[in-house]
Amino acid sequence: VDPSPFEASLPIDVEALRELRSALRAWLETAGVPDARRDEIVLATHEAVSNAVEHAVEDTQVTIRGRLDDGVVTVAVENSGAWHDRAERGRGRGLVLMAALMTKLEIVTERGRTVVRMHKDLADGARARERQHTL
Amino acid sequence: MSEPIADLRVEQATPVAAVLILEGEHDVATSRDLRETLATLLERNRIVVADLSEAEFVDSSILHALVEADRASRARGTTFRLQLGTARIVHAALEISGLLDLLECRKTREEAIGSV
Repeated sequence: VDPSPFEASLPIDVEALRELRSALRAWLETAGVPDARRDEIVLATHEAVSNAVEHAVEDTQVTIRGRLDDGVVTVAVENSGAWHDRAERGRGRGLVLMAALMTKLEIVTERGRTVVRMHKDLADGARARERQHTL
Repeated sequence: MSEPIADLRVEQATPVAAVLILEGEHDVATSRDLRETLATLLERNRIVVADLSEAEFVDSSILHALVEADRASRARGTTFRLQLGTARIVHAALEISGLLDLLECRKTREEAIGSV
């Protein structure tokens, strides 16, 4: 039986990220996601949220939703603000991590909101290993 | 709070070699402390080791801080190394972002502070 969805809203504050990771880990654990896949999803989600926190409009929130359907975990991170990859400051590593750790990654910006949607096929541990990137 | 917290510990292994031990979780909220501590250690030592063997989580801002430390060390003609033996996810983060190839990595403390 697929577990009930995960949902959290964070203030625009990097100090809140640790607690989010802890809550997401607990949800994934309850959902029966194996440790290695869980850690990959938590890191990828952290990177998406951390980017959102850096670029969101002040006094708004970042919303994180997670679902597990048929062996695929989907995480959506939504904020008010454009997506800014940090490559221009030599810090594009967040995006590289997200792309390598997850099975599929989409970033959609429209009407002043950005949604990062990531999928992790739980059978897809090995493939992530092969997709290495070098900056 | 029983959550593990980011902890930085410095060990002066020899008069010219310092080891910065990262325990627990390290992220964008703690990366400034890491950058400042590394910068200070690099000024005072010939060899600086960032020991990640007890780190449970590092994010892209930490990876960036390690790359910056490596650049600063090269510019000074000193040595900066990572000590591995890490949590799987920490190893994966280093591997994916190319740091295993870019930085000098060692598996033991002895190798990490050694002069070769």
